[in-house]
Amino acid sequence: MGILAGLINENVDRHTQDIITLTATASITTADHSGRTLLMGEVGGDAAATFTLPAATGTGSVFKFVVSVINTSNYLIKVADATDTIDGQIIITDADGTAATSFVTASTSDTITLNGTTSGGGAIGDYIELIDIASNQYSVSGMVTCAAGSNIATMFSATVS
Amino acid sequence: MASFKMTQGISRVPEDVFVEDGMTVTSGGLTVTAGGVTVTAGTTTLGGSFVRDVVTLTATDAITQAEHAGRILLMGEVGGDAACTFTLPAATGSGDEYKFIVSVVNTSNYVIKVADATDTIDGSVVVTNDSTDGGTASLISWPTLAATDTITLDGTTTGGVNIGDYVLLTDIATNQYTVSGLLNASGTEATPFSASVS
Repeated sequence: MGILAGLINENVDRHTQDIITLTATASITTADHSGRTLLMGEVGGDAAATFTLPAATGTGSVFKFVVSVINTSNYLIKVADATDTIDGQIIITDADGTAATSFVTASTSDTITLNGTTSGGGAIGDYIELIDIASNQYSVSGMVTCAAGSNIATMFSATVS
Repeated sequence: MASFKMTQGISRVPEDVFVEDGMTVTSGGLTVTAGGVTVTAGTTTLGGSFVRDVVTLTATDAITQAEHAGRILLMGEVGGDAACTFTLPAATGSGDEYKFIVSVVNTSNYVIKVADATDTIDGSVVVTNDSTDGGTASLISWPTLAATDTITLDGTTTGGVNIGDYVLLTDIATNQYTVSGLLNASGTEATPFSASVS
């Protein structure tokens, strides 16, 4: 793991980020996952996979999850403990048309569920970015897809607290 | 060129060190305490995890490449009740990115503006309207105008209502920034963009 504690000037030819494919339930860590592209790729897309974030301490760690395999048995991203919460919003597009809306977190939100249909994760490329911005605090943004034939529902809940 | 393995490091070198055939750090990592690292060509491959530095902006500040580019810039005015103005460096096409994230909602304005009358900002931000905690809401997008050089998040109508709201500015050319972002607004929504510098 590299810690970039200074200026990052990205005016180079290009840079690439490492990719990690998450095929099953896993504990997410700064050392193994921060700053990498994290593919949610449960083989077959038919088994629940839960990704537990490290406790938020304000490290600036960025965890970007990208759907590479649609999973109708749920990808869950949740915080480490009852004191951590997630603030922000995720834009969701309804594949039945072109309408987009946004779900906003509640004050107690600590879990994100992409069920492959109503709550997002209905398309490869759907993504969520979480940033550890302070003690007990993640921020979230992202863009996901509600699968055709489904009605949108929030992906946020409080299952840890 | 024959390989040479340094096992004890270099304690004092008055001139630059040139490595012609690659360099591998096998343990201990690489620490740069001043001067930075410059890559002028080729592909920079981040084959491991990495963490960006966090800077919390609690008051009006001049934004600089050296202190802020590529870092996570938290807008965190303590109390959320005092205006904070963040002035960008003059745009030169450096590629520098400045990502501002609301960590404390401020109803007395976070203002992000360019350095001088020749710089402008082009792009758009997506805004969620009148959302309720845990609820859903419609989206709108505010595009910039030709003369836009200032972004104001007032904690209500123009955005910055929620922790996690963000704007990303990129220095793409001389006198030119781009902007994108995702915000929440309340009340009768209004554009965050204006021209206060030109």
